[in-house]
Amino acid sequence: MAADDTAAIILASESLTKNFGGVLAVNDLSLEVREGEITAIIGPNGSGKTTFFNLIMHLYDATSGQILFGGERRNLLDLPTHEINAQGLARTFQTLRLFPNLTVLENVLVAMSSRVNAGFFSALAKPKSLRRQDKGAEEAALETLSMFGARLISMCNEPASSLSYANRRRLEIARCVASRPKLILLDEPVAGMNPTETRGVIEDIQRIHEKGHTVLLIEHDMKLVEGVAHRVFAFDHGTKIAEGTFREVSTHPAVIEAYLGKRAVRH
Amino acid sequence: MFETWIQQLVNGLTIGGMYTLVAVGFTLFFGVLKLINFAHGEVFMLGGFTGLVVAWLAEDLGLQSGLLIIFLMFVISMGVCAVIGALMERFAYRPVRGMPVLIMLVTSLAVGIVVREAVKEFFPEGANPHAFYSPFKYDSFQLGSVVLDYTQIGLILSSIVLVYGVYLLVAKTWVGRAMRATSEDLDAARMMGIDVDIVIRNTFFLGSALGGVAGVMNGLLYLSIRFDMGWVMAIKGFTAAVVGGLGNIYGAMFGGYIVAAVEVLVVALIPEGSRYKDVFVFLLLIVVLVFRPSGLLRAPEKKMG
Amino acid sequence: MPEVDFIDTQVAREDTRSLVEKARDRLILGGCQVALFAAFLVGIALEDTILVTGFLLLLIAGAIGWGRMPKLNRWAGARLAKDKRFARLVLIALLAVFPFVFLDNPYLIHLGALAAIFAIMALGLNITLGFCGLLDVGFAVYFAAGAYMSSQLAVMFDVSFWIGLPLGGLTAAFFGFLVAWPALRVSDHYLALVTLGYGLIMNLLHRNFTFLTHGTDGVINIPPPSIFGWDFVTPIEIGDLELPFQMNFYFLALIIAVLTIFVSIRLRDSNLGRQWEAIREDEVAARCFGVNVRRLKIIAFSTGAFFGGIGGAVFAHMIGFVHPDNFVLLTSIMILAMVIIGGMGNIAGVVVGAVALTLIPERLREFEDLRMLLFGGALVLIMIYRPQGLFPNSRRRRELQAEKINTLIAQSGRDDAEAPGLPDEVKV
Repeated sequence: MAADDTAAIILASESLTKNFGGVLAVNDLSLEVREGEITAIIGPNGSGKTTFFNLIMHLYDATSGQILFGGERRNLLDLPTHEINAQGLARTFQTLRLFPNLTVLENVLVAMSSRVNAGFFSALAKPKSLRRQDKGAEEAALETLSMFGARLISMCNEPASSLSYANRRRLEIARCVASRPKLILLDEPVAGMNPTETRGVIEDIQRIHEKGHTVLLIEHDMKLVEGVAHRVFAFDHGTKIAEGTFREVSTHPAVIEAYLGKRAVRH
Repeated sequence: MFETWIQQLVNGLTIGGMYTLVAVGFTLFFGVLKLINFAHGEVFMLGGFTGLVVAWLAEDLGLQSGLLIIFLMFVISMGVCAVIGALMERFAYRPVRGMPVLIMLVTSLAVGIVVREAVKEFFPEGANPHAFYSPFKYDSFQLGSVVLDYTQIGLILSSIVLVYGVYLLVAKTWVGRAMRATSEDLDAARMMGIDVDIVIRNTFFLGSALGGVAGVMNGLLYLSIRFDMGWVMAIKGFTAAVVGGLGNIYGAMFGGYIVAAVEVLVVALIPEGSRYKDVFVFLLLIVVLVFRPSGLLRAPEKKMG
Repeated sequence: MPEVDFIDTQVAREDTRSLVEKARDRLILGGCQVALFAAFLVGIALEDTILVTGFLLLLIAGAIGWGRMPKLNRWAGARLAKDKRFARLVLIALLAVFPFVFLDNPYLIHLGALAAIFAIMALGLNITLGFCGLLDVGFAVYFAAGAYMSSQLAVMFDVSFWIGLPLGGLTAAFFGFLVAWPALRVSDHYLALVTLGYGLIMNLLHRNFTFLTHGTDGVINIPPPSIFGWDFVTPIEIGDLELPFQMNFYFLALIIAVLTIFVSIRLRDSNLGRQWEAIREDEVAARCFGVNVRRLKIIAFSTGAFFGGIGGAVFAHMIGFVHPDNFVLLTSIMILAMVIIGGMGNIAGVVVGAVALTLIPERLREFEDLRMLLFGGALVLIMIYRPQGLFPNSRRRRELQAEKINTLIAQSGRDDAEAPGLPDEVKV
C-alpha cells in the first residue's frame, strides 16, 4: 500500500500548537492528509493524538497555528464546532459517545443535523416540504445502517444502549458516514475489541474507504494499521516524528525510540 | 469616619466567620459526594434552635455563668447537628449516591423541607420568631474612639479557632487525609483501602457540626431565630463555597469572608443597600459560577466543549 | 430468516385489525378510561380526610403494583399506541365533562382550572428540563414575569387580557433568554445554582421594585378576562341552569393546556426535538455532528419560559391578585417536582404530575401545615425508590417503513454472506 503524493491535500495542519497550562499537548505540528487515502496516526499514550482530533473539531482553541481543510483551505479553527461537520468532517470517539437513550435510527438522524431543517416554527407548523424531507432523511439513515448488514438495522427502533459493544462502535461509524463527510476521523476504532471483531472493523474501514471517504484514524493496534493504512504518521510529545508507509515508519529509529525508550535504538 | 469603617470591619469579620463555617460544610459535602446539600441551611437553623433549648435547660438548672452556657450551647448543638447530618446522609443521600445531579439535588431540597417543616410544626410556637439567649447583650468596651461589642469579638475569635481547628483536622490528621483523598477521587480512595462510607459519614459529622455551631453564633449575634432562616444562610454559605471553589476546603475558608465583605460594602456604599445586599451576593454567585467556576483562588480551567 | 419476523413485529405498525376487532378494542379502551376517570372524580370529591388518605394510599399501592408488572405495562402501552388518537379524544371529552359533574361544587372546578394552569407551566419546564436536559431551578421567575406583565398591563393601562396573555408569555420568554446566556457556560450543579440564584434575585426584585410590582402589597383588583363585553366572572346561563363562573376559567385553562400539549408533541417529534435530546444525552457528540447547541439551548430556555409566563398570566387573571410570595423558591421546587414525579420528558406523565401535585395538597387541607412536611417526605421517598418518575420516558418507537427495512435487510443478506443477527463472535 503506497502513499500517493500527487493526491490533493484534504487536511493540512500548519505549525499547530496547543498548550495546556504549560504542557505542550500538541507542539508545532505540521502534516498533510491526502484525499482518498487511509491515513493512520500512531504514537505512545499522551503523544497528542486525541488532542489533535479535538483541535480539528475545534473542541479546544489552539494556542497557535492553523488547520486548513478542503479545496478552499478553510481554517477550521475559525469555525464553531457545530459548523465543522457541514464542512465535511465527522469523527468517532475513543470512549464511545453515542446518545444512549435515543434509538439506533435516531442516533443516525442526529448526525444529519447540518442538513435538516431544525427550525422552531416549521417544527410547529410541520409543512409538507418538511414531512418530505424527514421521510427522505429517514430513508437515507436506514440505508446507511444497512451497510452493516442486519446488525444495526434490525435494532433500529431500539435504544442505542441496548446494542452490543461491537455494534455500538459500528453505530458510531454509521453515524459518521450518515453525515456525508469527505474526511472521517476514527479515534481508536478497535479499542477493547477481540481479534475477530478487529478483523470485522478492518473490513468496515475498507468499505467506507471504497465508498469514497478519506479516513484519518488513530490506532494502537499495529495489525490494523498495517492492514489498512496507506500512510502513517508517528507522533511523540505532540509532534510528528516520522511519516511514510507502515513499513517505513515502523522501522524508523525515532519511532522505535519513542515506543521502547533510548536503549532499544543503541542495540 | 474611621470608627465606622472599623465597625464595618468587625461586622464583616463576624458574619464572615459564620459564613465560612457554613461554607466549609458545603464544600466538604460537595467534595466527597458531588452533592450540593441544600438541606445544610436547615442544619444551621436546627443548630440555632438546639442552642436555644440548651440555654433554656441551663437556666432551669440554675447555671449562672454566661460563658459556660454558651460553651454548652456550642458543644451540644454541634453534637446534635452532627448526628442529624449523619442521619440525613445515611437515610436520604446514600440511597441516591451516584444518581444524576437532578435527583440528588431534589433529594436535598426535599430533606431541607422536611427539617424546616418539622421544626415549624413540632417546636413550641415553631412558626414564630424566638428571642435568643444572649448573656452579653449590648456589653461593649472602648478601644480609643472605637466601641467594640463583646459578643462580636467573641464570635470572631471562636470562628477563627474553629476554622483553624478544621484546617488542622483536614490537613494534618488521618481522618482529614482520607477525606481529601475521597474528595479527589472516590473510586481511587476505595481502592486504596479507605472505607468510603465511613469517610462520608465523618464528613457529614464534621460539616453539620460546623453548621450547627454557626446557627448558635447567628442567634447570639442577631438575638432572634426563626424556622425559615436557614435558606438565606444556605445561599450565603454555598456562595462562599463557590467563591472559594466548590470542593476546595481551604478556599471555603476565604470565601466566607469575601461574601461578608461584599455584603458590608454594599450596605456601606450603596444607598438603601441593606435591601439589596442579598441581590449582590446572588449576583456574586452567578458571576463566579459563570466566569470563574473553579473559584476565585484558582486559575480558570479550560474544559472540553 | 426468523429475524425478519422479529422486525415485522417490532417495526410494522400497520393496522391489520378488522372493523369489529377495532370497535371492540376501542370499546374496552374507552371503558377503562371512563372507569379510571370516574375513580379520579370520586377521589377528588371525597371530603372526609380519612377517606382522602385512604384513597391516596390505594393510589400509591396501585402505582407500585402497576410498576411491578412490566409485562402488563408493555401490553397496555402497545394497546394504547394502536388507538392513540381515539384515546386522546376520549380523554378530552372526559375533561370537558368534568365541570358539569360538579356544578354544585365550584371550588372543585376552580381546582381543576388551577391544575390545568400548573400543567401548562410544568409542560414548559418539561421542554427545558425533560427534552433538553437543562436544569432550571428558578422556574418561578417566568411564572412571575407572565403574571406581573399581564396583570399590570390590565391594571395600569387597561390592556385586554387577550393581549396581555401573549405579552406575558413573551416577557417570560425574554427572562428565559436572559438566563440562557450565563447558563450556556455552565452545566449540572453549576447550572442549578445559577438558575437558583436567578430565581432568588428576581424574587427580591419583585419585593423591592415597587413601582413595577407594588412590592409586598401585591397587585390587586386584576380584572378577569372578557370577550365582547362579557367577562369571565359572569356565569353562563343555559335555560334555568346557571353554570358557575369557575367553569369559564376551567375551559380557558384547559384549552391552553391542550394547545401546550400539542406544541410539546410537535416539538418533541421534530428535528429540533431530536437535537434537544441529543444535547441532553451528550453535548459534545451532538456538537460534533452539527447540532447548534447554543441556539437550541436558548430556544429551550425561552420556549419553556414562555409557557411559564402563559400559565402566570392565566393564574393572575383567575385569582385576581399577585404577590411575591407566589414566586418563591418553593414554587419552583413544586413545578420541578411535578415534572420529576410525572417522569421527565414524558408529556402525559408531566400532566399527571401537575394534576396530582395541585390536587393532593388541596384535598389534604385538614392537615394544614403538615402538608409541606408530608410533601417533603414523599419527595425524598420518590427520589430514592422511583427517581425516574411515575411514567418514565421510555423510547417512543417510531412508525417505520417496514417494507423498506425488510428490503434493505434482504439485500444486505445477499451482500453479506453471514446470517443477520448472529452474534459477533461467530463472524469471521
